[in-house]
Amino acid sequence: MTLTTTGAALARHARGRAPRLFDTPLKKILAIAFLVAIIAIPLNVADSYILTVLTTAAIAAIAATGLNLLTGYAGQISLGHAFFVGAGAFCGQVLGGQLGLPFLLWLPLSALFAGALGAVVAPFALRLKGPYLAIVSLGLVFIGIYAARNLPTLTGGLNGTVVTAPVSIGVLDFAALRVGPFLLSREQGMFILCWLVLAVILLAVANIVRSRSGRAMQAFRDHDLAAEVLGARRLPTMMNAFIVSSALGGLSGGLLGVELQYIRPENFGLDLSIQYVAIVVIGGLASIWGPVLGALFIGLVPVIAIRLADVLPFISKPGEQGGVSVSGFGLVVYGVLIVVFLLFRRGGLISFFRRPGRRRPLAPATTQAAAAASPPDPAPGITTHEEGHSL
Amino acid sequence: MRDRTPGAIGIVAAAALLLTSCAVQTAPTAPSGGATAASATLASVPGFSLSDGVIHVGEMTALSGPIAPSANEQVAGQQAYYDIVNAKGGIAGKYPVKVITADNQYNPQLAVQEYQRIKDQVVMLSGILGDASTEALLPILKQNKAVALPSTQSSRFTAQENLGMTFTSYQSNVWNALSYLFEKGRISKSSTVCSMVQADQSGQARQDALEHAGKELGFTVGPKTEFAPTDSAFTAQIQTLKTAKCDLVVFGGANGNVPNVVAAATQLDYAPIWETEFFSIAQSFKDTDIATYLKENFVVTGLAGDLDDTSIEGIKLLTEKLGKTPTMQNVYGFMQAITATTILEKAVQLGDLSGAGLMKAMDGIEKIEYLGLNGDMTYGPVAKRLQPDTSSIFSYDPTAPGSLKALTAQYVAPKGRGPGF
Amino acid sequence: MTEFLQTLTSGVALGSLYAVLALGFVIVARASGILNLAQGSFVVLGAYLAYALIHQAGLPFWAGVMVAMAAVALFAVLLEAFVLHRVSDHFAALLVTFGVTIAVAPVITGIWPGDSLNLGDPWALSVLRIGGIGITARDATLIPITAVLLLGFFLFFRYTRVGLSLRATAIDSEAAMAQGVSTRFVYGISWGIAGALGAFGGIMLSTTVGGGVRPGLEVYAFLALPVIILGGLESPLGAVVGGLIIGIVQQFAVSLVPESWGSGFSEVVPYLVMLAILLIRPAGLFGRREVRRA
Repeated sequence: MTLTTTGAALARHARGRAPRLFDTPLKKILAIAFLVAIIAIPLNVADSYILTVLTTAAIAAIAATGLNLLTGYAGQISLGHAFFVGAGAFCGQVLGGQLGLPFLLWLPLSALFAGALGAVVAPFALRLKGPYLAIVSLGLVFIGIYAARNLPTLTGGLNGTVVTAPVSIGVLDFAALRVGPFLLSREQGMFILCWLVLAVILLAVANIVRSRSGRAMQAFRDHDLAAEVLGARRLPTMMNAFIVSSALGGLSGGLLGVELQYIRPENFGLDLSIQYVAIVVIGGLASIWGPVLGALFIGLVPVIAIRLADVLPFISKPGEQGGVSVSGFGLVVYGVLIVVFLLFRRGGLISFFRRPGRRRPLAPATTQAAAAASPPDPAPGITTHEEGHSL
Repeated sequence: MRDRTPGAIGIVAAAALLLTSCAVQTAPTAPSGGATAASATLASVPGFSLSDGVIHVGEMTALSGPIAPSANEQVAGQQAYYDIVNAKGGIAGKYPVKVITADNQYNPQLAVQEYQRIKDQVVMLSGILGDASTEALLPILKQNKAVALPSTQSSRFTAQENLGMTFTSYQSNVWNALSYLFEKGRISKSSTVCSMVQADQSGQARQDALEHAGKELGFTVGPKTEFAPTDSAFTAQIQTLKTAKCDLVVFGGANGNVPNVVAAATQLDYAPIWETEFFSIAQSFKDTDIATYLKENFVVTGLAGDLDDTSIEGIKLLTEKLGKTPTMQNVYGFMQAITATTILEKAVQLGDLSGAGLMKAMDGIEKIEYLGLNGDMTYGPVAKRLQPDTSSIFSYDPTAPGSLKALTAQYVAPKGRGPGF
Repeated sequence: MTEFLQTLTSGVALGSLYAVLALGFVIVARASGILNLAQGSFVVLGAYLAYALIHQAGLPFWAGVMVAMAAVALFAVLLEAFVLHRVSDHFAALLVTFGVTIAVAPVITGIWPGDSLNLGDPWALSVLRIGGIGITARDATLIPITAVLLLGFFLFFRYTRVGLSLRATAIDSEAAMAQGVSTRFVYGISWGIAGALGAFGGIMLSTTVGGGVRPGLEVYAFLALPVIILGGLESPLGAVVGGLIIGIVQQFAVSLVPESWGSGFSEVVPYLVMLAILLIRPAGLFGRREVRRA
């Protein structure tokens, strides 16, 4: 008996089979609760502002998930994610708004377009390391804005364009969803659409991460020489990461366009790129739910700032000079939180939900002496991984 | 062996939550109407409740960022007029007006989100700062059948039924300024007139006016140079203008660009007449060295007249309310509040403060007058609406209030309004 | 010919400004090995503190500049000692420094509101004319100062003990420590210099010809990023040469490029130049090629 079981277990590992996604009952319940919440929340919340904030958070989470794949799992810093999001947004308007293609066509095509751009950029970008890659990716953003500004027929030029792309799948028009006798507002419909897309994406990325390609990415992130020695090929692996990441950015951009109903080249700039990076870091690098938590968190900061504005004296009232404005205050909070999280809670928000004692894949490995802030670590510069994948 | 508990719990939870869907509305079966008769009683709508009788209006403007100082002055100007109205009891003597502000940071994407936040708290927006923000909000305003007053002069918004305009268009201002300078002999048929504008519709609007003036007055139209809003080095553009020997340059920038433009022009020793709008002039310039250049070379279009001229009714009221001499930005806000109040008065008269009611009110107003601050804005059915065609023209004088000294007030080009201006 | 020389002069002036901004990044990159986006906050702090000292407190111009530079240098040193020291990897450091900049900027513009404040610099709008070329007095001072800075850096790194410590720490911090070099001291000095440079850059940016002390100055620091990549992240010579190249190319590009290439081209020129150079030399003009040993 024992021999067969051991033999079977060994054989399983030899084939390199990844563990199941939802292996504990808790995970199954959480997954179902998540899906239920996606439908239930908009049905019970009419406040369009809250719904808009949450929908925008979902869209940001999709983009951040893509960035997380590139940065958290594959270890490549990119400040250029806004470029791919913008590309997807404008492509979505051209295909869906100008050409009138249906939702199930224009959205995937926009994602593919962004992915193709990623494929073009990747071979060049992958030759660069660290800060060089960061700045070059930043350059992408500026070049993208310049290109978008000067193609007015496609993008509306300097001032941008209204987005008229349709959001209906078959008879389900998410802008005016009718369920039996009920009519949902646009905000409610968009909430359901975007969060459902996010759920699908999370599932897909979780699968990528535990696949052979995903594990190769993580191997390269942690010790690329060793990975290459073991037979993983760097260029195809990293190309995959780039392309999927860019495609997800484009997908997010397409949804962002129809959510805001207006896009402008300037809005896909450095600020947006940094926002995605902050989401990924604050949420927790190399985790599936991290980007979602990070996006919710970042999305709620301005909301809380407005609530606090009446209480705090140094916030300026409209019409008067001096004092920090409400949105300026939001920026201050945002900046301080980034610093605080990175100093004191490197695992990100997701680390609050993990059980202590389990070792898990850490953020991009360092070569300096053991990071003081990270949990008990065997030796400087070496990280160990658990087989499989956790929250 | 399979654990069915999660599934069971899930289904029960789902059913429970779905059954509580308390935030969905029943699909409308008949068009919901507001008051149908002119004498119907006023109903509560988002932003106005009969119980407290306060009409809330929204103001979407740049409360932070580089534009904030000017934007805040507009807010103060609006508030001043509402205070005057409220002192008499409010709209129709019964309903005071209260402003709720939102910060779009001059960024259209933020405008959308902020609008979602306040849209159920206000009956209309009495200001949206930024053409781009206005464009961004237009689809949502249409979907929600809501009304807004853009804080802009762009003529392309005049034919939108959801929007209410107030000011003279960019085109008319340029055309009037050029006509005035031609009349006074500062430019003539032998002059070359060029432009330095942004590559967008407002820049094109100015260019259209320039070309129209060239045809009508007979001068030569020179090169059109462009710049991006964040440019800080203008040497290339100035070089082009200097080489073309432009005598006058129509400038479509804002006060953030002016110091750099003056610096570049000084460096290249180039001093044409610069024609621009009043928002290119910041109060802070008068302490700096660019003031001399501005005084010698800038001609500015704006509203009203001398800002301390209390013979103008609007200036007098605004000065009393603020307790000090107003700035042009204060006047700008003040005038928008006049537009908003007129529309609200009409809507209350017709008995409907909903978005559809406000649009009907705009259709029913013949024109709005501005207490001598500017020409009338013609309302009525959307196809008939027309922006005023008057401009007040100023020179830069650091000793004058607001740094602007009026050369002429409420000027209209002798040849009349331009085509579509 | 005059036009060509005029454009060239403007390019050199712009390039010098870039070089000053870039040098601050380079110093920190050499010492701590990170891309210090807090440089943006140094720029803002330098400009506004100088304004407060000169315009509001009435100090003479150069005294105010010196004090402002010293104050920002202190801020930078404290930032490194208390915040950056705890951060272990480059990626986190990049973000933390960015967080500092976005938190600091609104606070500063909240304390000193206004869209364009007058720094009170002695150059004002005066222009020197040599031949047919006009060069603003500010630029005429800035260009020699940049040259002096570069010379100063060279001498500092080559011939002083402190400079030697910096170089040693950058190459191998453990070996340097073994030799008795205090890394805390090295980091402190480097960041202090970076802070002073950032402040100086901010002050230059907000002179009358620069456009005044205004919100949004922190963005200018990021303009120097393509310069440092072009020049090589850790090379002061690269910062200056890179700055000059980009400044000159930018000025010529804008004046020579046809209308049809669209507006805003000047903003992308630095990145295009950077990309072109990176294709040939992936480590930048004067950067060191990383040699990796297993």
